[in-house]
Amino acid sequence: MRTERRRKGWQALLLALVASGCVIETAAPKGMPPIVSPEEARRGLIVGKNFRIVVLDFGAKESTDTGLERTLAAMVLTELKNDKRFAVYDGGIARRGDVLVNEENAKESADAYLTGTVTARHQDEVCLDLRLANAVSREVLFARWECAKLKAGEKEWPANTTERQKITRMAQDISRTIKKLEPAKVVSADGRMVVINKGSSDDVLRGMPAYIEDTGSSIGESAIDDVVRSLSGIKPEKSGLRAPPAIVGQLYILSVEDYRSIAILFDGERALPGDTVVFK
Amino acid sequence: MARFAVALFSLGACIPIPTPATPQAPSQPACYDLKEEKDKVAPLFLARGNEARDRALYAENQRLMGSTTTFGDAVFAVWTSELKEARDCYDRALRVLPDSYDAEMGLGIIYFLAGVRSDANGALSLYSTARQHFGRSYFLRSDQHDALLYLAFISILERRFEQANQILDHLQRVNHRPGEVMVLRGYAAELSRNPSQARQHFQKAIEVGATSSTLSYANLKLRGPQP
Repeated sequence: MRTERRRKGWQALLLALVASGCVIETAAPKGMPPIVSPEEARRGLIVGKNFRIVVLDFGAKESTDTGLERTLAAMVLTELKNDKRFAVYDGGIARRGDVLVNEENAKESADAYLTGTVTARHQDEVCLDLRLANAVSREVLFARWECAKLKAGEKEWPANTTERQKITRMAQDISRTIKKLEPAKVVSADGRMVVINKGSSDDVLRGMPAYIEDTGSSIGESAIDDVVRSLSGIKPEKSGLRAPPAIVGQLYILSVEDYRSIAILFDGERALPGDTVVFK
Repeated sequence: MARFAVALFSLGACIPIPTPATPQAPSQPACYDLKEEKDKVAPLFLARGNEARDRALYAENQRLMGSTTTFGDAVFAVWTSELKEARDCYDRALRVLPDSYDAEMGLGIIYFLAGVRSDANGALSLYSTARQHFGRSYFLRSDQHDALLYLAFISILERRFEQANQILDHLQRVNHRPGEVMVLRGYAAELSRNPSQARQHFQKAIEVGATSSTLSYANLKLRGPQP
């Protein structure tokens, strides 16, 4: 009986508390500003850091019965690979009519595609036009022509040293033209348009591919680093923090001036001033 | 973790907090619902954590803005369970991906929220833990500035105005969330008993723009009784 009365008493007390509205005590003063939801960090991308070139099947002014287009493509691919400047991909050059990669979808596997055309074919001469184009913008980064003398009865590009060296030189010219440049910095960004601090005086070319690393903004703001160290007690040097910069975007150069260039961000969420632009 | 649990259950409620089975309260944290091994990856843990964190943030902002002056047990239990679920998810994400910026940020906000709800003693240790997570976030991704914003907020709550001002000056220089920065400046001015300066900051926040909840707060402050 007594226990029952005590239980009812507690129940009544609880009911009264709940009915009156249990206001939770808080350390924060009344009217505190709202707490904003954090912005998501820029998504890291998986990007090939080398300049990737896919060699496509070459075309001809008129279809040849000797498969010269395929032979030439294979020779250029070998020479490019030997040069070591680029990561070279085979676009299925041996499978005419059933190609794996073409100009349309080259951007899925490479930064640029290399193709050519047999532009002239005479009794004693065969000529080739070679071009390398950005896989996204299709801007031609490099174009060159070359002819080889044919002996009587010869239908292929001659395999002798002199004529083969012409192909080697063309491949070497590609790496000489598209140099591996020192990284640049993002100066400003407006949506997809990104301004970077290097231009033609640094050998930047229209159509060059690059990627951006998230080193933007407060890097080097040592005063703020010190404030954060003192507030959080975190010492990044000791705890091995400072994760390596993530790749957060890919871009290609749209226009070049002497000391700056404008690029288009075609992959990634956004660029920030201070981000590092790494040319491929 | 134990500190977190103790703090959560000593949040200064006037009665011991029961754990009633309410329709909104999940009986088991959803992070543990990820049964498939292929789903146990950091992005999913983070996504679950972020959902729960944002629900808790929403509830807390409603309370801070005065929409919920009284807080019943059931609502509080939901809020608590959201925080616990978010914490579990972020902890799991960190086990998979030890240098996850998002998980560190998420944990920072959770301890910050728990600190805001806690009594003065509990808040001290919760804010300290939040500061560590925000510090790690900052050093992991210094291109993201939100960790600094929260560190400034905590510094103001802890009356470390000098450090808060240093951070807010920096955020203003890089033009990160200018409205929120002005509101925090206003709040700091209020706490420093400088109401006229506070009003200037709130006015400036409205001019430069901010998230809707921050703007509502600034408007509320300007419409409120004159100091």
